[in-house]
Amino acid sequence: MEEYLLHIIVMIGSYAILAYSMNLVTGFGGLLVFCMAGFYGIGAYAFTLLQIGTPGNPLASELIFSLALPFPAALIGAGVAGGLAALLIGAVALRFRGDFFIFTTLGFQMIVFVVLYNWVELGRGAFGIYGIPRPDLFGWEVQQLWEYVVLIGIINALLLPLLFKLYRSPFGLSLKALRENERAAESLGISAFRQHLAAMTVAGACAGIAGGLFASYVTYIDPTSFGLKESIFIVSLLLLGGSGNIKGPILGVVVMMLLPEALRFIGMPDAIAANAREIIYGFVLVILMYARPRGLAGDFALK
Amino acid sequence: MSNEPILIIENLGKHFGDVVVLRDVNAALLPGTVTAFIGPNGAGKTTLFHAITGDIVPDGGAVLLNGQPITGMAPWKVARKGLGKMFQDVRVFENLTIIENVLLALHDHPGQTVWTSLLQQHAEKKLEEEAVMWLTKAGVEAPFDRLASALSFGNKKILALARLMAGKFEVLLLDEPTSGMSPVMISRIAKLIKQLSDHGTTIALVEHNCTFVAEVAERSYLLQEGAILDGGPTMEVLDREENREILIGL
Repeated sequence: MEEYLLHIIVMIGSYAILAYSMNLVTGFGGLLVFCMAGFYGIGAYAFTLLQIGTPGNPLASELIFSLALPFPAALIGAGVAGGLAALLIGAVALRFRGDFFIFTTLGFQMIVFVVLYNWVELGRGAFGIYGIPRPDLFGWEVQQLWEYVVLIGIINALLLPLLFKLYRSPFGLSLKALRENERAAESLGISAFRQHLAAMTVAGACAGIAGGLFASYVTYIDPTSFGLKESIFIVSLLLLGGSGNIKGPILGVVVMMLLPEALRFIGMPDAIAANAREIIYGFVLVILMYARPRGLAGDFALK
Repeated sequence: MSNEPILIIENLGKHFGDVVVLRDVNAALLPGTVTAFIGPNGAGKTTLFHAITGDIVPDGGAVLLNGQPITGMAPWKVARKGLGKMFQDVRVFENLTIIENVLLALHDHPGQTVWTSLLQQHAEKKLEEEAVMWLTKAGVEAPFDRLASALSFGNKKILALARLMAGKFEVLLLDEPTSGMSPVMISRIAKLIKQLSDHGTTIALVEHNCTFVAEVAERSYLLQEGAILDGGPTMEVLDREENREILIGL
């Protein structure tokens, strides 16, 4: 039971990074992005390729390249890869607005999944990569679950204050103005393209770091962890908890992580439990969206 | 103050499909003056403002600000060149607080990237004091930490004007600043416009209220069907019988 709770805490910590980074683009910038799992996956694969090249690792020779960088360097590499991917997709997608922007991000999400699935030399396609090394942080070998809780806590303590500072900065305020009325914001000298692109890059970099952490935690990755379903899940964290502030995303993460877990304990027969949980889970989301379009604690209703 | 025009509009043209909305419009704004663009509905006044600020790209002609072409430039670039605009439908940021609306105009956006936002300590306290000063000067009612959506339509217009005042733009384009306003609010706006003009800001208005135009504008241009029909000192333009016929059907 203790291990189970610690696992939930690790997942809450990982998704908190994803939710808060997406909050910058969606809650503050007003742009609904459906490719966060793509950035997350790119980070996970980049981290893995930068870590897995330890001497004697049988997988290293199968991959297009592999290094054996220290954990912090590989994690930074994961952030850089996620950030660069977001910069690239942002530069294209931000030429569009509304539905077209959303479809462009959806398209990118599909491309990432298809590439990860089919480019065998990159990540062994559907077979995935196993044996990803456990983190070694300056001699501290993270093995136990409670140690992961500490590690994820440290990464959250480093990343989230930076994101919160951005939320409260003139940069965050300019994003909120763009969210409210892009033309009015531009009439004050704010470039929608530049500010949104910067926000997407930061979000992509943070998602990449979360991906690296995930890879080091589960020690096995394959493309199914980074598909469209995952992107929709990340969007629903903000839809449920609310966006445009600090309390909404974490509330969304906690509820979304705990709700399915709570539904495990209602005593359904195993044969129908999984499907029933999905239905109940979807039903709760629909009711919440109907009753509270801003989410449980949001400042902004996604349109 | 120089008598060279600060903003020159040369042969500006625009059409939407078969409809010509601007026909070779020529006009000039002199520094520190108030100039009104008047005319019936559909004359092309708002389109002219949109073409100046880059919200629409004109088909032909040129707009020069301080002698530099700004034709077809992105609106945010035009704003950074010193040209501010109040929209006809006001467009305050409803879900931001009153003070945040003004702070946006005070922030140096080109200099405020992600890096500077993370690394620099911002002089927010000082900027907030300045924002309060502009809000007080414009006459927006405190408290300023309320959402802008809480303000009445008239006060939203005053807030939009306070935002432009804080932005210290050289040239302001105000699209129907008095529409939907009470007489008290109209006189407050007239006072603010005169104050801005006295401090050297060049102002252009689109306006239907001829009494207001006569009160605040030194010069006026009359537009009809996208073309400038007349231009000159406001009282002369307003007094000409053929112009009155166009404006008020007399």
